[in-house]
Amino acid sequence: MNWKVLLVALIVIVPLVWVLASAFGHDPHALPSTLEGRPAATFSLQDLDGREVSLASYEGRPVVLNFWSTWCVPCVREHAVLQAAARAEGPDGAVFLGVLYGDEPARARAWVARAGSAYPTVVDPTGSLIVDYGVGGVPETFFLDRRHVVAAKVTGPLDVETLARHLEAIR
Amino acid sequence: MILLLLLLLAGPGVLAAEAPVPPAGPPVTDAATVQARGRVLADALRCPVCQGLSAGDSQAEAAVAMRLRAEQFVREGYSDAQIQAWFVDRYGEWVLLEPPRRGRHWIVWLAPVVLLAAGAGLVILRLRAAATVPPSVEPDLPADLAADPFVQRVLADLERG
Repeated sequence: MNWKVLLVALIVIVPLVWVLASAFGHDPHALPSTLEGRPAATFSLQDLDGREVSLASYEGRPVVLNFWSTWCVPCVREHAVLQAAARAEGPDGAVFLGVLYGDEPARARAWVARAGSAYPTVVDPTGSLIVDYGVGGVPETFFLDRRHVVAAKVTGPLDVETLARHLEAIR
Repeated sequence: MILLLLLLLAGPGVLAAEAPVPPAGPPVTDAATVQARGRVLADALRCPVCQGLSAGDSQAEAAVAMRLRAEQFVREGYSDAQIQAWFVDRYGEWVLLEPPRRGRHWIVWLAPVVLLAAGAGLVILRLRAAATVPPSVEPDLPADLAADPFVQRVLADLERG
């Protein structure tokens, strides 16, 4: 009797624990992007200075799309890494673009004026890009190849090696 | 699993940025309907930047954007299944607050029911077993105590009930 009860309990509990463990066993924000290998959502938005920035205008060039905000400490930490890499790119090299996430444009403008930026940051007033790219927080960086297909997504701050590796892959 | 996901996505039609599909129905112009359906859809989606909150309950920018997008799709005539599939397409199944009722996810839905039924069955079996065994008033006494007249009187009273 007891071993039968134990067997039934195990048959039910083990798969349940397996499903729950597979769901809770990892950081949900570290999930790989479901968009990898697929065309990136196009956009045409104004940057912090009011200039129109369109993804389509960078046709044929790889793009690094970085979602960031001034209140995000890891974003501030990776800023120097991104700026150095952007400055090192030639005229036909990768294009770097920032997307302001959950922040005031005025605050971002002041922050960029202080820290400097080698590339524009677009303002997404409706949060449309956040949903289009399935962004779960900041910083998140998308690497688009020359055809603007999503090659990779990196969640969290970029370091020099990671950025260089992904840049090499989309060239 | 992947096949099931693809079937789900292929079934109602995927609203992908790269290949939009036609809406399942006509555009919805009634604002109250748009808001109500958008709310229900957002309530079933996980807010990507919150802890344990739905996109309908959170005021985070990402959650608000998801609500707006859901309402936009409702307005354009997309079905609830199409809209949900679009969000799964963007964020993965993780975005669904409830596990889908298919594949290995059935375990999560069925295990509590099976365990409850098994527990109830166990209780019933135990109760039946207890009911079939007659209660014994014959205590296991040492010989000297069993010979005691007072103890014998008590046992006789118990026998009579």
